[in-house]
Amino acid sequence: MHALPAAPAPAPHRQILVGTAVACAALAALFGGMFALYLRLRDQSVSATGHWLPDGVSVPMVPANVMLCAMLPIAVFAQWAVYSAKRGDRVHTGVALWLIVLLAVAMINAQANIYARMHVPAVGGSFNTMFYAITGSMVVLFIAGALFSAITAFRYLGGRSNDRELVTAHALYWYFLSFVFAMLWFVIYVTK
Amino acid sequence: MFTTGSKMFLGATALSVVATIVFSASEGGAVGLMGTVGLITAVVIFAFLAGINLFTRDGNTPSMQQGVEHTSSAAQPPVGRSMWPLGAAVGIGGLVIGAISKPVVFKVSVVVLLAAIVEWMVQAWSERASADVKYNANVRSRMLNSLEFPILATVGAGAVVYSFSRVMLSANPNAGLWIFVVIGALIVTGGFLFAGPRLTSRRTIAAICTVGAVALMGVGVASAISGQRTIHPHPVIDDASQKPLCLEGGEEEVDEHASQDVSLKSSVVANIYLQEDGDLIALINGMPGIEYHELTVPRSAHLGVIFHNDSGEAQRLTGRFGTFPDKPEAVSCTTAVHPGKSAYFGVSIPKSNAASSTPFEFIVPGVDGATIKIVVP
Repeated sequence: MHALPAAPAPAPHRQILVGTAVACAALAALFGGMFALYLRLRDQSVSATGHWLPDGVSVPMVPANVMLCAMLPIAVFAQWAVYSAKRGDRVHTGVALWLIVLLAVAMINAQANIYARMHVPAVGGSFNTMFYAITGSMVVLFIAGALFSAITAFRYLGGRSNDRELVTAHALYWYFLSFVFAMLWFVIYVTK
Repeated sequence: MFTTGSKMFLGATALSVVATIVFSASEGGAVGLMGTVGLITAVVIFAFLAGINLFTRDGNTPSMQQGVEHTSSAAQPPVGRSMWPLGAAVGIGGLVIGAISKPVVFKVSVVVLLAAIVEWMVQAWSERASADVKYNANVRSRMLNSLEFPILATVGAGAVVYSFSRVMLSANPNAGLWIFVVIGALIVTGGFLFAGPRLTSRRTIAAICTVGAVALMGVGVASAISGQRTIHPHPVIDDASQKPLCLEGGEEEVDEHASQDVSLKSSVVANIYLQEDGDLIALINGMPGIEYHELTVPRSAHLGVIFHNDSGEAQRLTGRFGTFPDKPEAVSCTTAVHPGKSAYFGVSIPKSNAASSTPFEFIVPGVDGATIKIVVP
């Protein structure tokens, strides 16, 4: 029986890492633009009316702070996955990646809790629009991050344990999310 | 030390820093704040990309590396073309549109996105299964074709049926017949040509079928957008609007295609006959041979009579069930019954203790003297 030759080893050209970096740069531009517009509208509103948040709306800081704190273990777990993958430790790599998935789901849940407690209608003013645009985009990125972690775990644990570049790109994505969420936390939840 | 790409991004970073300082110093207010935040974002992005370029060394491979002619990026075969990134993008766009429009758009987009992701992943995996491109394509087909073909067939058939239904709902009812005739003729002609001895090439057949399906779906979408035509509901004899017809007689749309025969019925208390001479008589069940011109019916009863038309022209039986305060007269009737035919007439006597200002009776509108009195004790 004639066996087909294996596919050539992928060249170390870091396509996934560079692609992830470019995507992160694009998303940073998106969030930077939204933050800039948010701050401009906030400044105009404060100058005109003296306030920015709609009447009766208060930001629940506990879940917002918990979300910020959760980004630290996520970054640690992402680096843990990279460290374990480089040493061929499949068990620790898998545990780290699935813990990130768990925390990503917890982040989405915390954001839903904030939505439920703030009772901000989607239509009703600049704050409402910008609040949901920015935090909603963040939720989408969390969902994408959870999928990214799950796919990374499946690929790595499914036999492609040499595919360490993917784990590195995955860590880069979560570092980026941590940075953006820190900005979001300060702009949306702290400065209000 | 610095690669070409990283030099470019480092320069862009430095320029952005200068621009940020100059702009923030010269422009104040809300515009200045927004511009400064935007420029700081540009600084962060350029610095980040410069770092990535430095880390990856622009993707360069050292020329002295052993086997570089086989392992470098330039030596790799190009990645195969794929439509699934486009499908995933359509799914993501649909998610956004569906979130603010209709739930069905959102749900369909979720399905499209998941399908695109699965297809994309399997294709990417299969392209690295071996060095043989044909073998890789075969692996992909074996894995996904058993799933793709039934789903595509179902979705395609559903799209054709749905499109055709939209066309028929918007087309003029008289044109519907000709639409069926023309499309049926086209299908038969096409099948004849395709199956003929001078076989058209498979590519031509596929192209014709594709164009036909796209045309049908295009017309279907256009029809769905323009909305269906106004379809008037067929009138029923129990409508309040039919009351004048019950009292004055004649034949209208409601009488078209009306049933002229009665199957076995329960709760029938009497058979009412309109005789040739115009006399209306009732034969009560259990009292054979006695012709009645008066029926006694309990209040609030629900019962039935069967009307037989033995006259020479179509007639209907009308029941007048009294007029009570603040209410119009309770009237109902059968549809027009053709000569020699019969119809079932369900009767409900209103539940009221008040006196009626009009008589209770069965009549045949347009036939003088054809009356059966209804006594409600």
